[in-house]
Amino acid sequence: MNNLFTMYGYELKKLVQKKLLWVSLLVCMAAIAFSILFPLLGTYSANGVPISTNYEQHLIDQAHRKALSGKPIDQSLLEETLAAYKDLPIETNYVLTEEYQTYARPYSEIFNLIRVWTGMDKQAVVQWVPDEATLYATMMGRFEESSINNHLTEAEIAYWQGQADTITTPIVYQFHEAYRCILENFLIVGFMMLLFTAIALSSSFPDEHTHRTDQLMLCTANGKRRLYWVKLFAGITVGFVGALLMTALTWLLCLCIYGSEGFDTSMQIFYTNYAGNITIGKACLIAYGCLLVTAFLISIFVMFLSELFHSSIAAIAITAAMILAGALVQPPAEYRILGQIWDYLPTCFLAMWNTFDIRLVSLFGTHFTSYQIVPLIYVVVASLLAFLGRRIYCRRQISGR
Amino acid sequence: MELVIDRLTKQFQNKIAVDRVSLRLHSGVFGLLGANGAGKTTLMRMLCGILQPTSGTITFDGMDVSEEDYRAILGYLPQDFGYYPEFTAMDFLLYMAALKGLSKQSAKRRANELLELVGLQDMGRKKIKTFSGGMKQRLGIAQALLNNPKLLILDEPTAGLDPKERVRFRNLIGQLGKDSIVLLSTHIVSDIEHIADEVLMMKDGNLIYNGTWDEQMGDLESFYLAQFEEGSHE
Repeated sequence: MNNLFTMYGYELKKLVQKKLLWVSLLVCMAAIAFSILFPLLGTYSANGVPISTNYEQHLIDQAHRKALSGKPIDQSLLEETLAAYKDLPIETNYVLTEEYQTYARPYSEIFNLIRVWTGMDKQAVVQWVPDEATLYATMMGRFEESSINNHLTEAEIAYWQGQADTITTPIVYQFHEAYRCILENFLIVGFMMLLFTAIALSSSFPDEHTHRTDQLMLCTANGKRRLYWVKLFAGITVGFVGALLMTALTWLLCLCIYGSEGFDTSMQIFYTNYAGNITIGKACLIAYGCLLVTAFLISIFVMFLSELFHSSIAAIAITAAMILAGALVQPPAEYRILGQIWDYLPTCFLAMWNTFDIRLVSLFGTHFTSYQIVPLIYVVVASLLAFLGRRIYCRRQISGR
Repeated sequence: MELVIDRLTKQFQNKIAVDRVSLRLHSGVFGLLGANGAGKTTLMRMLCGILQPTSGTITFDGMDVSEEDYRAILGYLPQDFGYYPEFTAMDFLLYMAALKGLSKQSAKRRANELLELVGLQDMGRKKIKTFSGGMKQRLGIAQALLNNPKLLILDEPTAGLDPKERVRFRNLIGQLGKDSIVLLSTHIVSDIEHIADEVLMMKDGNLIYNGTWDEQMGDLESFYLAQFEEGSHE
């Protein structure tokens, strides 16, 4: 194999010998762990008065949610919930009242679902006459409302309507905290992955330039095309393994803290405006699958930039600027195509609302969701960048030193 | 074995670094002399295929400089030899051997041979960042010899070597010149006098002398310095 594996081993060695790689990986992993553990840390206060710890409160809520797990959100459960909330005091600071703690709190999860599915405020829900048919009709109505706000075409609305029609009602509530935690932390894991990849791989090619080893490599038999691909694959390995470690940490912590129950929970329990008929567990797999594909693209993108500019700083700066722009800039909703392209950029795509975007891509008469089409686009773009990078690398000239 | 350089030119914007140099070299040691900026390094980089000529061609036994086969018979020690500080000397040589296409077994054997040849046999497991300048230079020489090159290009190879190492290195180059084309550039005229079969002298991108040098022609150093003198009067 013309020493490809030996070369690959040494290229990996060059990357992992950098302290900066380990420091950035540790910082990113620590940030993810902190983000997951944060809700469980510290003191729980109500009305400014410390009562207990957040962890104790979490255990109480967990017990209530587990008690509700497996119950369909039907007429009977709606009536139970509303009955439990009917004696809740009108005052804002009701959390410490016995009416809330003893009667209402065990149903708070269902109560909150009614609020978001119907769009009513707390007081309106308390006064609402529970009706299962109205609840689900309103929920479907909100899908339509969301379609209009996103400027969907008739064909797209019909697609989502078809999806919504397959959702079985009444939806069964299941304890699903681990998967909620995994999806809630998707954005931060994506952000950390982008940051880590930019830092870890930005020096892969420029270091050869600054160490002046490029002149040695480029005049060897395997030092042009073969070495380029080997360096690229070593970089992709580091980016991919980094993303995999961050994914593993997120899943491990969430599953250890909350247990693995609820994989089959309906997505609408968590992402209430989504009309797709998928379970929350499947959504987690899709989201983190997209993250790994994005890691593949961004690894090649960062190395391409660093080779193009012969500078690690430039590669980091451009990637960081893209991350910031993705977080701060949002094209107006009426520029539908521009907005869609923008949201499919790697720095925006790793937000749950973009991974599970209701705007579709129509190709050859078939509709594709964002999580179906964007990873494919990423693979194509990554391949193009890889070939373009090879061209730049093989044409590198050593002069002016 | 023949290296053919035909009307080789390199122009950087307004400056012509190498101006229509033509040469035919056969096995032996060729000493390249010239003041700073004469075009020696530019010529050597073009011969190594890491700098594209503006015009002209370079072939070795019919192989063009851009071909992989050409690079397979090439050994190069640049003036500013780069290395990986965190690599051990052995790792560095094995990595370079992989780039040069040597199999794992022959790479190990050759690396050990060369470490001994350059007097670094006890330093194989030490990181290069702990090496002195002379040791790094010797490692650079070792990596250039890994693939038993037919064409060996050495840009100021004796820089940083102590007198004892320089003598050892001269003898080594003399041996290599029997079966290969060795082109070495240096400012140290005595190195050229001792080991070069032919002298090439460059000035302002042009080849101003190409041929053997013997004592009857006078002192090479005086001739070399005279070229500087002429340059300074211009």
